[in-house]
Amino acid sequence: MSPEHSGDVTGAALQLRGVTKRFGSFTAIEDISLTIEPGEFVTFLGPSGSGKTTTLNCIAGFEEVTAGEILLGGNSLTSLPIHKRNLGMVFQGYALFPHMTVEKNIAYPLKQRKLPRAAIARDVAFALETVGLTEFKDRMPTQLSGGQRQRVALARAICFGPPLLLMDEPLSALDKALREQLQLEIRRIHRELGTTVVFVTHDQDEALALSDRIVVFDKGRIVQIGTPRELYQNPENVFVSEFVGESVMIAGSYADGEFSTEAGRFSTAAASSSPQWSGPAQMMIRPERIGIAGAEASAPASGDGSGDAVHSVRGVIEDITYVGNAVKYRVGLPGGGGIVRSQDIGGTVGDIGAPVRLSWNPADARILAREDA
Amino acid sequence: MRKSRIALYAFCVPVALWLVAPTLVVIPLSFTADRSLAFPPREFSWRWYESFFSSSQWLGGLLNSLQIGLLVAIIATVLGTLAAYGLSRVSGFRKTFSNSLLVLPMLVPSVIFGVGLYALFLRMGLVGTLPGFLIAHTMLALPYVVVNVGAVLVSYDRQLERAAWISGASKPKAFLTVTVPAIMPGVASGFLFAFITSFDEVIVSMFISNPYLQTLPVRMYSSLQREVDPTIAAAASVIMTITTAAALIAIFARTRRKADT
Repeated sequence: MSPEHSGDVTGAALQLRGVTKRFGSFTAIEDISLTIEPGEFVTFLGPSGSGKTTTLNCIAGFEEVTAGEILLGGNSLTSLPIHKRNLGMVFQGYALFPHMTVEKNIAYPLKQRKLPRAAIARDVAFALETVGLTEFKDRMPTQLSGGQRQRVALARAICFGPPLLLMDEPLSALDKALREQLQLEIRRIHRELGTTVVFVTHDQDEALALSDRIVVFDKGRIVQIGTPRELYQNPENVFVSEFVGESVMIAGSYADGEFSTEAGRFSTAAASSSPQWSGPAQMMIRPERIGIAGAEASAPASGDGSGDAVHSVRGVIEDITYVGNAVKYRVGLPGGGGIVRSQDIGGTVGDIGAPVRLSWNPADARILAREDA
Repeated sequence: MRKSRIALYAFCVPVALWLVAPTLVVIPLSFTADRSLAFPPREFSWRWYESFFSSSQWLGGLLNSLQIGLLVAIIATVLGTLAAYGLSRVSGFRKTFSNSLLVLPMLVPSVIFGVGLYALFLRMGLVGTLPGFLIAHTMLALPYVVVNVGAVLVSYDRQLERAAWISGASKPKAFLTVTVPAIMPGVASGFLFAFITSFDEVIVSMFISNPYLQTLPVRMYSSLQREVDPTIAAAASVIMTITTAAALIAIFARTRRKADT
């Protein structure tokens, strides 16, 4: 192993300060500020057009920032040309040089750094070993499968020990099984090298599986930054709660510790969030926190919705999906609806169209401001 | 299915023969022992090839054509490749306008182009000079390079360049080490078409040549007006061999490019 990447090497801290990018009159990203710790694995998550890729391109240097500053290890990147930024990057379409062998592809960044031949051979061998492709070094890219190509691209991006590794939807061209396998490998390589990683994806499962922290983008802005668990359990707004994971949403209005809907009134005294504001709101409950039963089942104690006991509401099954270890019910409710997940224990609570009763612990409900209202 | 295939051949083979037969007639003519261009030749002989390769005028013309053709191919390939690369990253009016401008020499009748160039070259003292030929032929050859390189650039993955930049290569270095090898098939066929364009060109060359500097086609044309001697058939066969070889290489490079993608 070379001294540049002997396992305990850590990446550099990345700081974005008020980064803004405009294309003519269109603002792609506005006032993006965040700090990524050395060695941290951070995912930019958002739908297409949310600004996550533009932000990545600004870090890489493919786009010039309109305003703001990007610092890597305390030094400004913004004024450096792309080839002097010393970054590793893995692209969605692999971007392997088609006229070079696997070995030459990986050696390319080392050659640009004018390393002696022995050092290049050593670093290429190390990178090949890291991605498990040593016996493929003489192949051309066209002779490799998609997964192998992306491993070569990964080897090319890490062989020179970059302080920051950028990954632009690197797995989206691969099938599900291969994607999960490569996710594990990316995590292992990140642990071994200790480099800072910025990973862009629109796939929430991928973001939840890989990241130390997730930055959620929407309409050119950051809407929330947090660990996967924080985003799932405590989304700060409707967008994040809908984009990260499934949920049941009920529309209503909120005032003074009480959430009112067509279906009744619910006290939020025990809820995980009891906000200070009042106005149109959504109540959100995650699918695994909700019980589902046939409508004729007796309502749990104090089913009128007040007090600290279990909350419940009546609805209708709109769709049923069997997912192996569980059954997912899409349930329509007065003023909302959503997904409920139930352990598959043989029986069913009813067919499509059947009335059901949903119930949950008040502590598991979350009140979010309604943006569209 | 089989019947329609036979019908296809029955139609296409005669058409193909019809297209090339007049050209192919020249080859047996060049091997005649007679002093006139009689077809079919009665006796086989190499004498007109001897006459061609021992005449300083004919051989000189061939060497001039080869020299001009190679230099034009090099200049047009470099300029045309850069032009096509530049055009691949602009759009809208600028692209359409520059593209039409570059392809214009293909569309303007050669006589008009030749007259205009002659008037200009006369004032600049470029008639009958190597630079004069290089300028004129490069203009004519440029569209072929732009079109050929432009065609491969359409399917060129721009991410390759980004990958090279982020790997530490400056923009010129990335262009030479990644872009050029990736678009090589188009560059190579552009080079060959540029060579053929210059090597075959007669009308414009007539205007800008003088007795001191003639290309082979010009020499052939002027010899036709004075004497009709089978040396011209030998000369034509030499030109045909060279251009056919170049064209075949270009076609081969193209089909390989298609097979690769």
